[in-house]
Amino acid sequence: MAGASHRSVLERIASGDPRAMTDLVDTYGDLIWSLARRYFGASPLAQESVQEAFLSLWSCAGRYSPGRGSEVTFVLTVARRRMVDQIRHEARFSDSVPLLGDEADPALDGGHQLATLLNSARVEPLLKELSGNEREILSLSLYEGYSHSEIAKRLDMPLGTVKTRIRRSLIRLRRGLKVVRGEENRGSG
Amino acid sequence: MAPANRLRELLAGDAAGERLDDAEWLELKELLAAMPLEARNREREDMQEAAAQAQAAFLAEDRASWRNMPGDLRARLTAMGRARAAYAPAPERRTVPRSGWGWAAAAAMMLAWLATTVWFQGPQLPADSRALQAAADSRTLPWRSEVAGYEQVGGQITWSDSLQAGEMRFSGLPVNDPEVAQYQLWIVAPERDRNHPVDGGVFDAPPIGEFALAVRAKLPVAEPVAFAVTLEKAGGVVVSDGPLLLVASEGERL
Repeated sequence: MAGASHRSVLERIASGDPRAMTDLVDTYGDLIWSLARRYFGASPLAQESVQEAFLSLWSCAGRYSPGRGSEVTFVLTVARRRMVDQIRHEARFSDSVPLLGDEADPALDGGHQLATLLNSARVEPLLKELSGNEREILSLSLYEGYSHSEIAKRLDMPLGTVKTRIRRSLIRLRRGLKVVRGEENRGSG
Repeated sequence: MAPANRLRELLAGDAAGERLDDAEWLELKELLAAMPLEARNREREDMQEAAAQAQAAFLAEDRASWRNMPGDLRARLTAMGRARAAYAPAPERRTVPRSGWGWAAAAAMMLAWLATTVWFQGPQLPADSRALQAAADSRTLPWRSEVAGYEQVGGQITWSDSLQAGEMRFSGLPVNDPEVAQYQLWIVAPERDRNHPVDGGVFDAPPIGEFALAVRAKLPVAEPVAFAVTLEKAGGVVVSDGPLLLVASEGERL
């Protein structure tokens, strides 16, 4: 991306810069793949969801507004929607599907770019809002892709309790993010 | 419970990937419809951002799960990106009349993009759209619509039983908001219950006027007699009760 202007990759896509299409893959590929890999494990849905995420990002790049939030947040949000779409649309893969071994799917080399992206998304303080149990349930749901019924079974909790805790935890995180963004006084927080 | 709190509960469930039941989905639609458009979008986006950022926060803590994208996937996406870049001209160039060599160049780029799209949409698909067109049993049916707002849609669908693959082409299909609703293809085949057609996959209409997509049938299909497109909630549905916006049926074969 040497020589690229200060505009974000999505803005460059929206303005018709042909190189920006592949720059998006270079910039966010490892991040989206790492999320999908954790969410879907060894299922082919991981690759499908990453492909769908980039198709969506290329198509809706024009909807990104720097004034609304960071580019990485926009990318994360679109990628997550595609993961959720995949899991809703396909039969849930079996719990017994093993994760790929390290030889087939090596750990990241260095990881500086991914660390930078995650830092820029300002995500680290987010989870401090939650108790240990809330974190565990939310991690199983949002990060590891377990269904609510799978979480209920795994933690031996009523399904309704799992559903309620996930919803309320997410509402608290949303409120915390609005505070971080200085939007807490807009009346909707 | 106050409507605003109930709305956030339902949005949180949706953003977390929960499959809302029909009653909750209807309730969510009604609560959103009662809000101004900008506020509605902000509420929905805020919750989805919270879910996405939480997912990233868990990844930030779990460095052992950081991965390089596999080389074959990266190469595939890079090729797709290049093909799309070649097909989608810059906004300034979109105003050039599509005539003469300009139109020929656009058509050539369309073919290149089609070939790449069909190749990369799924492992069961032919190497390019020419293979599909050349298959002895391929059939092509034009889209028809009697639904207001869709009468102008052009294009067709091509399907081959032997390849178990197909492609859809559209022109003038209204752009959808993928976060709210997505188009879904349905395939009606004689050996299956007509009330339960085969899911052909969800897709979005980009703002480029003309586009093509591969069919992604979820089940084997034999001698389909009709194809239909509906507009469903994001992610699609298992059974549709929506209007058939577009239909392509035997008897109108091209």
